[in-house]
Amino acid sequence: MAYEIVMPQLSDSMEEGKLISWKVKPGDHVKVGDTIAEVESDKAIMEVQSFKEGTVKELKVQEGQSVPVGTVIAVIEPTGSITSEKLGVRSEERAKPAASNEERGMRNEEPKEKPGAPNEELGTRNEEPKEKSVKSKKSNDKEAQRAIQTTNDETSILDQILGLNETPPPIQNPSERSDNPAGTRTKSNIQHPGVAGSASPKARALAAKYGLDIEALQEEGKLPMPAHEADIKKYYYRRYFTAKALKLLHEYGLSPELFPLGKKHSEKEIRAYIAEHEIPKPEPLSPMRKAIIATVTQAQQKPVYHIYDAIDATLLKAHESERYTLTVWLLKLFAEAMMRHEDFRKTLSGNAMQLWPNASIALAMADGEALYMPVFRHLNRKSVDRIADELATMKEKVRSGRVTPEDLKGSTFGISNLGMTGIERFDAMINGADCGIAAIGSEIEGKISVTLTLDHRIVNGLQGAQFMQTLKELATEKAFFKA
Amino acid sequence: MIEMLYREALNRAIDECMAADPNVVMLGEDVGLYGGSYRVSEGLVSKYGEKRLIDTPIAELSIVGNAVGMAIGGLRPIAEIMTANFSLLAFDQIINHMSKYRYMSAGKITLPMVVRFPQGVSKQLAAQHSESYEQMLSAVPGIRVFAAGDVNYAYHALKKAILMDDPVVFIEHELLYNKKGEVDLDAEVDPFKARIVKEGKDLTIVSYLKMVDDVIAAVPEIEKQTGKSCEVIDLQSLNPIDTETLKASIEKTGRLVVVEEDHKMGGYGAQVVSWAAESLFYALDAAPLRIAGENVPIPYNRKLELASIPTPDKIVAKIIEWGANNGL
Repeated sequence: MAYEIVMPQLSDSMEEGKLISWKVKPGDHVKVGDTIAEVESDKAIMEVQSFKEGTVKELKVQEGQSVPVGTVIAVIEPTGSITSEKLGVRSEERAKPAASNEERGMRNEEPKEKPGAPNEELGTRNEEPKEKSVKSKKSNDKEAQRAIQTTNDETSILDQILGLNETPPPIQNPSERSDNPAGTRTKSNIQHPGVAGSASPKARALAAKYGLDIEALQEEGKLPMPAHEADIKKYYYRRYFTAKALKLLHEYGLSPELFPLGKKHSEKEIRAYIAEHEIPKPEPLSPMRKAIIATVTQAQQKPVYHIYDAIDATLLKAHESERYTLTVWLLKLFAEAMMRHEDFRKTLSGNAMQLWPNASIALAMADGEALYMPVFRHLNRKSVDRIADELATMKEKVRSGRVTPEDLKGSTFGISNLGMTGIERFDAMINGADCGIAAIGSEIEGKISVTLTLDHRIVNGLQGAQFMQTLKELATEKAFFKA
Repeated sequence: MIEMLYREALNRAIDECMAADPNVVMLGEDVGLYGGSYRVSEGLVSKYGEKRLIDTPIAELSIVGNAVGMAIGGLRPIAEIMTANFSLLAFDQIINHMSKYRYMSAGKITLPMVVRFPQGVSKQLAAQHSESYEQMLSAVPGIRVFAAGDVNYAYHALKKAILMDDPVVFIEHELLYNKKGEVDLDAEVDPFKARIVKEGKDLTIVSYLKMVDDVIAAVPEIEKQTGKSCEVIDLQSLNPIDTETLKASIEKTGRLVVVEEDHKMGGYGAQVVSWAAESLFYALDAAPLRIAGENVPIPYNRKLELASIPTPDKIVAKIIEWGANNGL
C-alpha cells in the first residue's frame, strides 16, 4: 500500500499551506523522520517528515503552490511492499473509481492502444497511408515532449493569467499517475479522449477567429486534446507576447486582450502602458501578513487603556552585556513583577478568568517583514543564563523562519522592545489572549520609557499602576540583579 | 424587507389577492377549515368565508375541472393539489381543458386560474408521494409553469400568477414551506425572469426549486477545490425559460451544469441542455453536465432516498470530476 503524505494542519486557524520546497525527489529513498518538504502555514515554516521508510513515488504539488490542509502532497512506496505494477495491475485501472455500467460499456468499445492507427471517427485521416502517420506521430511525440519541457515556466504564468491554475484541484486524473511521475499538471495528459481535432465548440470558434488550425497544432503537440478556450488563448498569446511581457501582465493582473494582437509585444511596451495608465501592482497577502492583520484587528477590538511611565536604567545598563542583553533582563524583570501581581497572569476564557501559575511572556521579534510573538515560558523558574540561551535559540529560529506554532502558545503578557531604534516612547497592541503588553522605548537621560497597554476586562487601572510601581522598584534593587 | 417563511409568503400573496378582488377563490382538499396541508391557506377561511375557501372531496379531476369552469365563468380560482403524484388524475383537465380553451375558442375565453402544485422528495414519503412533474407540465403548450425556490419569488410570482389572465401551474417544493427568507413587498418582480443567486465567471450552474439551496451549499467547496468561481441561476420560470439570462451567463463562463431533482431520463434539465447546445454551441467550452435524480422510483428508506437524488456532496463530487476532464 502506498503511503500518502498530506498537507499537515500546523495551527488551528490553518486552512491551507504553501509548499516552500521539496527536500526529496521521486525515486529517493527516505527513512522514518527524514524531512520531505518545507511547508509554510499562516504562522510559520515547518518541516514535513516521513513516518515510514520507503521510496518517494510521486510529488503531487509544485513548489510555491498552496493547497488545502489534508491534500495529498506526496506518495511514498514503503520498503518491502509489493507494488501493484509488479502484480501486473495497471495503475490506471486500479485508481479508476467504480464506473457505472454505462461508462464501462463505452470504455470497452474504445481500443486501448492505438499506436499510429488512424482514428475511425476521422474519415479524412483514414485515407492517409499508414506508414506516414506512424512516422509523423513518433516525431511529433518527441516534439511535443520538448515543447512541454521548454515552455513549462511560461505555461504556469499563462495558466495564472488565464485564471487556470490558481488552486489546482487536488484530485488527480488516473491517467496522470502512470506517465507523469513528477505529478506536474500539464494540460496534455489529464484529458482522456485524445484524438487530433477534438476541441470544445468555444475553442473552435476562437481558433477560427485567430486563424489557427487546431488539428495541425495538436498533431505537432502544441495543443492538448481536446483543446479548450484557455488552450487556444495560451498558444495565441505566447505568439504575441515575450515571456517577460506575459509575466508582467500577470503581475499586474492585466488582460492580454488590452493589446492589439498581430504583432509581438515586449516587456518595455507593457511597462509603458502600466506607467501611462497608472496601474497599481496587486500584491497578494503573504501568510505572515494575513496572520498579522488577523491578530491586530482582533487586538483593536479589545477595551484597552495605557499607563505611561519610565524605569531607572542605571542598574539595567550596568548589568547589560553581549550575553545578558537588556531584553534578557527585561524578561526577568517583568516575570518577577508578574509573579507579584496575579492579574498579569490571567487570561479571559468565555465567562471565566484563568489564572496561570507561572510567568510566560510573548516577546515581539522581527526579521525583515516577518514578525513573531514567540513565548518564553515559566520565566520565574529560569535563571538569567537559561533565558539568555532561549533568547539566542529563538533569534535563530526567527531568522531562519522556523518558528513553530508551539513556540507561539502559552503567554499571558507581552513585551515589545524598540529601544534599539532610538525612539523615545510608543505603545503596542496586545497579542492573542494576553492581558496586556509593555512597549519599551530607548534609554534617555538614565530612564527607559515603559508604556503598558492593558485589557481593562482583565486588569483594572489601580492594579496596572501597582504593577508599574513594582517594575520601577525592581529596576533599582541591586538584589534583583544578583539572582 | 420582511423576513417570513415560504408558506407565509404564499399565504400573504393569496390573502392580498382575495382582499383586493372578490373574484379570487381557492379550492382543494382541506384548504378551508384545516388551513391547507402545508398551512398555506391558514386563517383565510375565517376572513373570506367558506364560499371563497372551498373544501373539496378527494377528487383531483374535479378540483381542477371545477377551477376551469370557474375561470370560464369569470372567477380567478386557485386550485390546490395536495401533492404532485395526485395531480395525475387531474392531468386530463390540465392538458385538454385548462391549457387549450383559450386556443379552441380563438381567444374568446380566457382562463385566469392557478393550480398550486407541491412536489418533490420530502422526507420518506415513498415512491407514490415524492415525484416531480415539471418535465411533463412544461411540455404542454398553453400553460405557464413557475417554480418557486425563493421566498421573495414565492410571494410576488404567486400574486402575479393569480392576477394574470393566463393559466399557470405554480410548482412549490414540499421541503421549502418552512424556509425563511426576506421579502421585499414593494419590489417589482418579473415572474418570467430567472434569478442570479450568485455571480461567478467560470461555470454556470442552473437549477430551480429546492436544488438551488443544495447547489448554494455545494458551491464553496467546489470553488475551494477548483479555484474557479461559479455563477448560480435559479430558473424560476420553467415555461417559458428566461433564455436571455442564461445566454448572458453561459457566454461569459462557457460551461453549463444543470442540477435537477427529477429523474435524469426525460428530466427537465435535458431541455435546458438541448437549448444551450442548439443556441450557444460556439459559446460552450465543455460538454454540459446534468446532475439529476436516478432513474428509479423514489425509495422510502432514508439512505436510499438520498442516494436517489442530488445532494450537496454529490453535486461537489460530480462537478469536480467533470471539471477535471473538461478543462475547468
